[in-house]
Amino acid sequence: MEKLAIKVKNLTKSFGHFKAVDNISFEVKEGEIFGFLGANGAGKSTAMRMLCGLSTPSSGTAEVAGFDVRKKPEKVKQRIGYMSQRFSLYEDLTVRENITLYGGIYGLTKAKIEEETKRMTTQLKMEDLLDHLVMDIPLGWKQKLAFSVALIHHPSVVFLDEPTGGVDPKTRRQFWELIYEAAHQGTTIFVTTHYMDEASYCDRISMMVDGEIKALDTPKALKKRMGVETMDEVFRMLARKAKRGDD
Amino acid sequence: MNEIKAFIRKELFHILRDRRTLLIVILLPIVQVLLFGFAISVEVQHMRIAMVGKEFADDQSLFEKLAQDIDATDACDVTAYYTTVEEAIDAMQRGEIDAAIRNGSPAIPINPQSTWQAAGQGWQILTDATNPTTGTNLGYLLQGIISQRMMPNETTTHRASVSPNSHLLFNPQLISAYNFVPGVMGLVFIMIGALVTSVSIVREKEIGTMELLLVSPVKPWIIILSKMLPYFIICSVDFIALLIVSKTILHVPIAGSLSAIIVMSILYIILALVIGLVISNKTKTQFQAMMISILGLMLPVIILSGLIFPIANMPTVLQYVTHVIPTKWYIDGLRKLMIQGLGWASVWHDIAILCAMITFFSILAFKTFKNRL
Amino acid sequence: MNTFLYLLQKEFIQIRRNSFMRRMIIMYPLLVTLVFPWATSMDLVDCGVVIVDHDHSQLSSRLINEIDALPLFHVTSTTDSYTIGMNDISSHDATAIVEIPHGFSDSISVGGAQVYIASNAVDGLQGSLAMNYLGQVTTQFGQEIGHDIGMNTTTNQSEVAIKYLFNGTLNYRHFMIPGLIVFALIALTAMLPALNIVSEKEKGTIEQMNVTPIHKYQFILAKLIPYWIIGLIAVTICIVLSGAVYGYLPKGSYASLYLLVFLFILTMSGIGLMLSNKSNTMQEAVFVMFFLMMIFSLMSGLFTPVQSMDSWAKWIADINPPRYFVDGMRAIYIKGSSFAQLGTEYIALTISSILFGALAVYTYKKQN
Repeated sequence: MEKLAIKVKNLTKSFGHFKAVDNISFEVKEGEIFGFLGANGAGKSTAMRMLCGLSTPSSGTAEVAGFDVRKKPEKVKQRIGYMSQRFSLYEDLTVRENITLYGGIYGLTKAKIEEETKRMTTQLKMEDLLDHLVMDIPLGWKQKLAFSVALIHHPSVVFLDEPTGGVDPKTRRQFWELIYEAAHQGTTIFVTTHYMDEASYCDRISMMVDGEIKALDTPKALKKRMGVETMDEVFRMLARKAKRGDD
Repeated sequence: MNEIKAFIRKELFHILRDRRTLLIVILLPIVQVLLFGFAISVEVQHMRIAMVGKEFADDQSLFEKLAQDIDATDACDVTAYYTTVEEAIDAMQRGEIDAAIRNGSPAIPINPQSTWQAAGQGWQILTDATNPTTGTNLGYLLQGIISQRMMPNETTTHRASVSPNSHLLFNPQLISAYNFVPGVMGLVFIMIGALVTSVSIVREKEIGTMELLLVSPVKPWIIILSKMLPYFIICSVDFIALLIVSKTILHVPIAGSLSAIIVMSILYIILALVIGLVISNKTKTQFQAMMISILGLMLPVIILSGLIFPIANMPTVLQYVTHVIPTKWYIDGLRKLMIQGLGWASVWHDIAILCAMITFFSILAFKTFKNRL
Repeated sequence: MNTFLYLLQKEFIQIRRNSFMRRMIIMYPLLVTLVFPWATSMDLVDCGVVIVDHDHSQLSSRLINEIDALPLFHVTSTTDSYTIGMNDISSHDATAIVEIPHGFSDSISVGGAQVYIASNAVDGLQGSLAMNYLGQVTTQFGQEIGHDIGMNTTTNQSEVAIKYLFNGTLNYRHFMIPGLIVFALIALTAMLPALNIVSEKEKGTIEQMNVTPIHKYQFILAKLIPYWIIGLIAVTICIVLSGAVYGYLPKGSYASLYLLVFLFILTMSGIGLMLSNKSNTMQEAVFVMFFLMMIFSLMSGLFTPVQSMDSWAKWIADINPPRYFVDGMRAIYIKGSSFAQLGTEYIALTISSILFGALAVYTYKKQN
């Protein structure tokens, strides 16, 4: 039996009467690229925030990298990486300083941090930008850097919250190459996106509508089940039933 | 015209949705004026007086009577009795008493190591002059009380004298609120006005939405105006509330021309908003805008506007500096209008300066804004 | 521990890169020691007096000259109409009016001479000071004349001497400098932290921190320490400058002064960060901080005495941490009070520093 990286059962988050996430259950296998789709306001960010230990579930359980997010959120945080939709590196620090900071936070030794810095900059071809302030480098580079920094401690699961928002198609493709590479090395990828073409890059995807998971399968199987050609159509068919509007 | 309306509606909606900020902006000034209107006072009050050397007094009953005289005044309470001056000085260093009265009897033991030197016979007042104003005032006050008690009965003796017949004008009960309410209003308006305008504009710059607005076909000045108008309304609401609060709760008189008060305040609020606009044009981040608005305005306004410290007391150079502080002119005018009960004629000078300042800062705002586009 | 040092390093780099903040840290001590002390005086200086002389006698002009010769007063004009005199008061050309009635010089010798004194009491303190001083001057004038004409041989000047302790030269600057240092510290160590965490919230970087396994207290401590250092540097600049420029140094011990400063900085930075944790936007944080700064500075005795406040206001002052610091700073600076003598101040600030330090950690939520 394959090992599970994420195990979610009946997870719910309510704000007052409003159920942002309504009783969802799913499992993600180790090394899988798991796409988490849904319209704005469908509740995918809230669900992801619970899995990262940023938000406490109202009910239900979730186990990430072998630890319960409710009971041991800090243990979970040791083993996960996270990159949010809003750019989250420090703009007033240089590339090197950001890498050093996060390396230090995850308890890497000085030598190890230096090694990672070198590896990362070679991989991203950013050697020349190493001592530039992050605010001065182009957005595409920033996103790729943020992704690499989220992986600095070799987490077993990495959460990506709309990582390619606002980036040009070329950079998006480069970004997905990075994701494949990380997955190849055994890292589980949990990614939210609203680019439907990206959805087909995932091993499996789930569709969230109004706080619930309405569909969960491989992109191919989903298209087949719905009898449509593209992921876009799959999405539209499911989203049509949504009661919550965009907000 | 329609686009202006649309923009204003957008801004108002923005502000109304952020309830917390709205509440803060409307309520804070009222709380501030109430709080400080009551609290800020420079009258000599509740002074703690210690009596020293009762055991050694030649006339114990006189000593007692004096203590009673002092205790009977509004300004002073006798809170302690000490045997030696050293004890009293120690209490002063601890901040427990404000002054001590020493019976001049030579019998009072004096520690030879003490830096304190007894000066001659008779009664002596020792005041804590850390704050020179309180120290001297208290000294004179106690001197008067003691002299009264010691006054030789000379009613029969014929003496040449001039007696002053003294009056305090405008504020005979020396109510500090009269002086401070216009000041606190001046402080609050400029801080809130400059702060909200500058921060709200810079915030849009920081988030990037300002660029979006500026590339739209709408003229920049319409955007800016629509950002300022809601805050102008908020400040005006504050002004009306403050006027009512000071009249009804603090009982600050509005003795002079109400129309002049309103016109002056409107001008002053506009000025504050325009200054905020200039700050927003000159800064790139919310942090900078806030630092300039709060730190750059707050202390200079508190200290150099005549709010607490009289301008006449300042060195000439600083007196010139105070001329550029808008709050100075507002406070000056408001005090004349509210408390001295004067009319339009007395404040045209202040109003003219406020208008000149508005013109100056508007031109500056216009120029700096152009440069940024 | 290692993690903590990386966090601390990050905070220092960010402050160092913020040229604006660097300038504030230097500018504020300069302003509060070199500029503002000159402006803060409540004493009566060069007060304008308008004279309404109905007597036009030798004695009345002698009184006018005497008033004009005093350093405190200058006669702005002499007129014989009260209405004109009042105009000068209204236009703020003069603070006080002295009216010498007709028949003044004749009635002195019979002990019945009166002088009408009125002063503008919109500013209550200035008004009453002017009134009292002028009253004293005229009373003395009467006695002087009595002496001259040989009537008052015995003096009824009672032998009550006033001795001003601690600030014998009655230097208002000496009173205000420790107070203004307090204001600079409030601005630097409460205001700046108040914007810190909330700005990370707005930028989104705080999320990234919250998904890492760092401990809350490490994160907060790394944020606080730079402000402690900033505060200590600012105080040192203030002390050195006022020593160099005015030759004015604290009378008490530096150890007790710095201990008090440190406790105060702990308190202020704790309050600042707590506010920052609780705010959603920088705008909100800055408004509340502005309000707090007003309370800190206006209800602490910094500008006006706590003794003069109403009892309820005094109660607020009693729970206002800067109140203890203002008292303590002035006591150490001016009175040379010792550590033992300032027990209340040290205890109050120790409690507040622990309380707000703990609250700063407690209110920081990695999870919601």
